[in-house]
Amino acid sequence: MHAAPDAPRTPSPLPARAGVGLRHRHVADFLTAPPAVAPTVAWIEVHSETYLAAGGPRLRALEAIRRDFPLSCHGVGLSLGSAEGIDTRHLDRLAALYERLQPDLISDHLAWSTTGGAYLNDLLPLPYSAEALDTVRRNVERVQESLKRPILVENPSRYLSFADSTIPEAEFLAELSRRTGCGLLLDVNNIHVSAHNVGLDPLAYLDAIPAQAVGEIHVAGHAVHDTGCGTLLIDDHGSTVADPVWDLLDEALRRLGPRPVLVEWDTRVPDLPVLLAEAERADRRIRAAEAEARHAA
Amino acid sequence: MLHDLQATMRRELLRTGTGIPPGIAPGTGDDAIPASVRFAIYANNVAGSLVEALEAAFPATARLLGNPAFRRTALAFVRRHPPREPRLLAYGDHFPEHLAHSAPDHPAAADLARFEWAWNAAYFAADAPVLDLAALRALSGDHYPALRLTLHPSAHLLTCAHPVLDVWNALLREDMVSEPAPATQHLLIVRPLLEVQAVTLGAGEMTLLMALSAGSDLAHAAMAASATEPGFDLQGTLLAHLQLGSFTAFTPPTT
Repeated sequence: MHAAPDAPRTPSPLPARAGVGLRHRHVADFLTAPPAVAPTVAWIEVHSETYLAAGGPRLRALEAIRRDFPLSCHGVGLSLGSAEGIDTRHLDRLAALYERLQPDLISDHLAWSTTGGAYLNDLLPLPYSAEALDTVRRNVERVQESLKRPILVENPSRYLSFADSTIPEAEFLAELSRRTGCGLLLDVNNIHVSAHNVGLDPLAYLDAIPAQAVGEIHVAGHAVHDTGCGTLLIDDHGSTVADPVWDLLDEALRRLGPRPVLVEWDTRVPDLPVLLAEAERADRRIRAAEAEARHAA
Repeated sequence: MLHDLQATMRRELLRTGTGIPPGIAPGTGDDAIPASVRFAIYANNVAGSLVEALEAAFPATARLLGNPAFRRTALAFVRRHPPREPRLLAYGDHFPEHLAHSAPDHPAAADLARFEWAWNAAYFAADAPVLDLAALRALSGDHYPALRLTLHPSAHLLTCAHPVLDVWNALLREDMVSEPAPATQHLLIVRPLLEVQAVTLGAGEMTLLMALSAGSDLAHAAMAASATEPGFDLQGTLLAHLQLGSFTAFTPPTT
């Protein structure tokens, strides 16, 4: 395993270093030259649902790469906000996959995607009400019981909010974590995107997040969409990380201390060196936060 | 209440229209972006990502139809038949049927899509060893007639009304492909190790493999094959499939 031996102790089983999302076009690079990748990439993350196959080369390749890198499995399909509860067949399939891969971390989103037996393949927004909190709490508990371990729940990017939302998002997540024991996956690009789109204060958001609950951070690129009556930021993971998002990462690391930071790049996936350069930028920021924390101590 | 909101959102997300669920808050401050524009971001994500999933599963079919036409018919399919589960690798099994009645200008499209679906199924199928040839050779010859051969779990047998393997190969080479004339093609798609193999089969060969996969012993399967194709070469056919890796195991007779 190439896990950085000097990574500081944090509430995360992953090293507090930069990781990248493993995408199909980079699999050959990871298989043939792990040492070339390893100095920059301390761990990898995959989308769990992409590997829900009985067998085959894709799963085989991940099992090989996983021997060299700590692994975070990031789900997009549990639909933790579904009023109708968790799809138990899906949960069983994930449990079998995790049994096989033994990931260091498992996560999914504060969102919903399944209703009436249809899976809509998007992270759809919830009104942040007492009812929704109770629903998500029940679903997270069901998942954690079945997987026999805590999961991390990620803040989504939002394009709208609901009139009957009564709980600010960060407080909703803090309360969810307090009630279920789940960890949090803090996506600072999503905070930036949501702040622009639905108007929230990113720094107040960070202040409301319980530091000890955060086991992982995401950064990613976003697109600017001109609607003709104002701009919306679209969380498309299709470019380099924007400067204000790097700044927000620094703010988060200052508050939380060093954490594992993932660079997500899912559309228009670039050549590996471009992705590694982004991971290096993330790594420098984690190290700076680490030095600052050491200095303050 | 949450349940009703989600049911309403689902209806609107899968519909061509500008309906929005109730309860979306107006923008904050000087922001004048209407709720319909905001909701449309989600609607586009849902439809667009599912159309992309079908494009990824059926790349040759998309080329045969041309991208705009493929995306139109894929969108209609997505709206009528959204996935039943979050495992998108399993999404699209009914897409070939949809093409059969939605792409009248491309009669081969449904067959090509069935082939691509079988190819995907072989790619993601359970891993299994190929039949141990040495163990089979060690068996006494009198056991052969009552022998049962198990097809590899990744094996798919397909009969198409068009020469889809030729079309598929041409499309992968990015050759210009005109709509092929109908001609029956029997196919085996199998992944013995890491690579998916697709081969055309003779009529007797197809009958043999179908009979074996249905549980017939070798003697009965061979008889059925000879009935389909007079002069059927059993030995040559078996040898070819043992080399290809079409079988995973054999069961000797229990005498």
